[in-house]
Amino acid sequence: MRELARVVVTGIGMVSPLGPLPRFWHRVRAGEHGFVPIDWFDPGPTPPATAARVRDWQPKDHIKPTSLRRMDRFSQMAVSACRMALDDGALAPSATEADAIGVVIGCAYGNLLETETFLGGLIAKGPALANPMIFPNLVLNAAAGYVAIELGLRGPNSTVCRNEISGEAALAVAYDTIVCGHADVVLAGGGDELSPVLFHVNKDLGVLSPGRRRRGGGASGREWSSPFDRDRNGMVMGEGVAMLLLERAEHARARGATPYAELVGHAMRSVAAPTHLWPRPAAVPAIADELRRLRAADAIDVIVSCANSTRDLDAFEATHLAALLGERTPGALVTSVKGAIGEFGGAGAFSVAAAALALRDRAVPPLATLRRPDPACALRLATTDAPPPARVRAALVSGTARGGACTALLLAQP
Amino acid sequence: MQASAPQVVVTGLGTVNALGSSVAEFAAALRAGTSAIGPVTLFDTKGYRARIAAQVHDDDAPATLPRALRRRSSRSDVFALRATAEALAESGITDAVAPDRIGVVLGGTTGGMLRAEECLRARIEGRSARYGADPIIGAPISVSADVVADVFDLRGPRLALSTACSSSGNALGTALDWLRLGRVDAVVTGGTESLCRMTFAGFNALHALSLEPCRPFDRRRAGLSLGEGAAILVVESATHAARRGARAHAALVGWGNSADAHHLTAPHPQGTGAILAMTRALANAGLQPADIDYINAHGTGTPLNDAVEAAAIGIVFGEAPHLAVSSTKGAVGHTLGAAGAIEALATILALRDGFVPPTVNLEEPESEWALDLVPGRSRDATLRYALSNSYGFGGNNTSVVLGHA
Repeated sequence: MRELARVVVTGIGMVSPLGPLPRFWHRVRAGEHGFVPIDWFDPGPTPPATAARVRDWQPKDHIKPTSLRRMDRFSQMAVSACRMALDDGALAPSATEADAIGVVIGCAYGNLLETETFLGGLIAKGPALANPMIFPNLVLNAAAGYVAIELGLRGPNSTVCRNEISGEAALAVAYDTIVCGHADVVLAGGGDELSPVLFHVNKDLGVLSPGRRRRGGGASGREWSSPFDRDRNGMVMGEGVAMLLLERAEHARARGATPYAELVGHAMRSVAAPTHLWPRPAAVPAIADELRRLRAADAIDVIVSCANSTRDLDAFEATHLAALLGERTPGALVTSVKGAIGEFGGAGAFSVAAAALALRDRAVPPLATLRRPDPACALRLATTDAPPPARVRAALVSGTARGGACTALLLAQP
Repeated sequence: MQASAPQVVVTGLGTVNALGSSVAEFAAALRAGTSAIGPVTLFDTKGYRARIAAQVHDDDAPATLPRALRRRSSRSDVFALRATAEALAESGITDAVAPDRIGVVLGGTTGGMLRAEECLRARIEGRSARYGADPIIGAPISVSADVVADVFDLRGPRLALSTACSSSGNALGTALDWLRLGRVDAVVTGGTESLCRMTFAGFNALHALSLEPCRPFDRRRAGLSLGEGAAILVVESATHAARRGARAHAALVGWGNSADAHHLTAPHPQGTGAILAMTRALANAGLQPADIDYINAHGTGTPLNDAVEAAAIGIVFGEAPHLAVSSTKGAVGHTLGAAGAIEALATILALRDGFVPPTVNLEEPESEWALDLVPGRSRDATLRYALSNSYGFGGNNTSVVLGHA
């Protein structure tokens, strides 16, 4: 195979239920979570009634007032996260440089709040009064468009829609954008915003956790997300946007940037599953075959899994990852950030951010809510009392979406 | 990396749109210069300024579709399934390649919105306490790719791209990147879109819809006409196609994408993004402007788009270029997320069959543009390379270069 350009992560920015980057990383490592009772819309009379909402974020700190007025909340999160990623990567591009910088955002739904408003108005008042001011914001790529406008970026611009693994998929597309020579620098990542409709749809589908099981049965009403726990009973919804600054390694070196990690490559394959369900437990040998070709595939010390505390997805991940690791790196420590920030469209971008941070700091965020590991899961789980890894040479990010699409991204020491 | 990258060819074509329910029907109508824009019957258009679109009337789900999937599939999914069935049957790729070596990447902008609107209406009007599972499950834009992959057992990478009206142009480009990188042996790519109230009401409210069938590049142009449908291409490396004896219709030779970084809906007044996308596509294909004989323009029929696009073409290709430029939107409407794919298909047919599709409804071209805009009627022409432009909200611009296999 031809020698591909090497790609590194040189900046991270985020708007999250645990706050911006330094606080997110501190809190997720300390085992904190961002779940709060839903009081900003009516979650219904019975549990689940908890979600992870973004906090410690002031859009006006990142976006000028004239722009802010027209911008939907999801786009505000994306623009804020991109600005923070550029700052974190100490990249202040000139106008000419900005012409070549790309943007790839992954999201499942994007601007749902205004979509609800627009459709609600259309249904209640008819087409003559439909709001022309918010309609342009409803396209899924409004956020990527606003990022381009606010930061002056005219490089390749795309929006990837891949349910829960939209974030991982966006980073995979961004990697290909760089190695194919379309751009040297790409801001890539993703997220989604929590909306009443999305919450109620998932509640009606029965995939949300109704709360911690108490001794003697019943639920306490305090929702929880506990990936890989034997008593896990559903996911908690979250929101946020994480963006990573990806650069061709030579570009980063030439400007003296210090990378968090190298994005070594990725594999995308899919397995059979109905569009609205996670697949049944299975190995995905085609992903293992793809990964085997990558540098550092034999040095995976950490896995950031997409496990989200649903019965189905965590069972799938346990089987898939055990088969993927096989005899080669059985000691890899497996974690997930969904117990801290919940599940949403581009949540995988936070998994990739966590993997990059784990490589830089040689630290693994724990599965802080894990009480009793699922005995069917043969992985080495990052419980709070698990000894920290002796070394973090490479980290794998694994994502599986409803409908059966799977992505694996491999990051390594730069 | 172009030097060592494999050539990529198109070995399967499929479509459902208002001009035809197959590639053969579409090609004949395109050549004949017919317009499929007429009254919308899909939903009640009372209260809208514009009441026309290029609606697909032959919209049945494939008879072979299992009942559960038939119930769950949105109108967008049905279009995608039918176009994919046609493209796969012709290419024979699924008999030649393992399922996990075939990728799926589709463009779209509203997915299953048409039924989700009904479901939302029922809840708002108090007729239903719950969200109906099937319409809402089928709403996300990624679902059409899932349904296609599921029905035809395609297990490679699977993505949906959504960059408004350039979505499926970007899908084609991503498929090209995957093949150049050797990620898969073949890709099912294209786009699908169904009419829905949300886009109709939105464009209506923006006063972007023409009250009569759209007239791209005409002096009297007054807006766009929406359309719907799907186009699917099966693409693979030329050596792979030759080895298995597959017929190649055309070659996918390059692509370029850019952002205007100017405004969410209005194009950059100097066409900066459009120029970047075209020049990037030419560079990616390793071609010069003089190599291009035909441009299938974005040409929506809105005053602003057509003016900026014509000026941008003048800047990239010279003031009075030798090439022909036409918009097929007067014939098949603006199919939004499917437009890039349907227009790439029109461009492939033009290259393969040796004709230039006309700009239907164009009668009085703006005099200031020194462009051959092919008004009204198609004409025979031998084309070497052609470019297909797609521009979308968000300021997204994509150009795809096609050539002979």
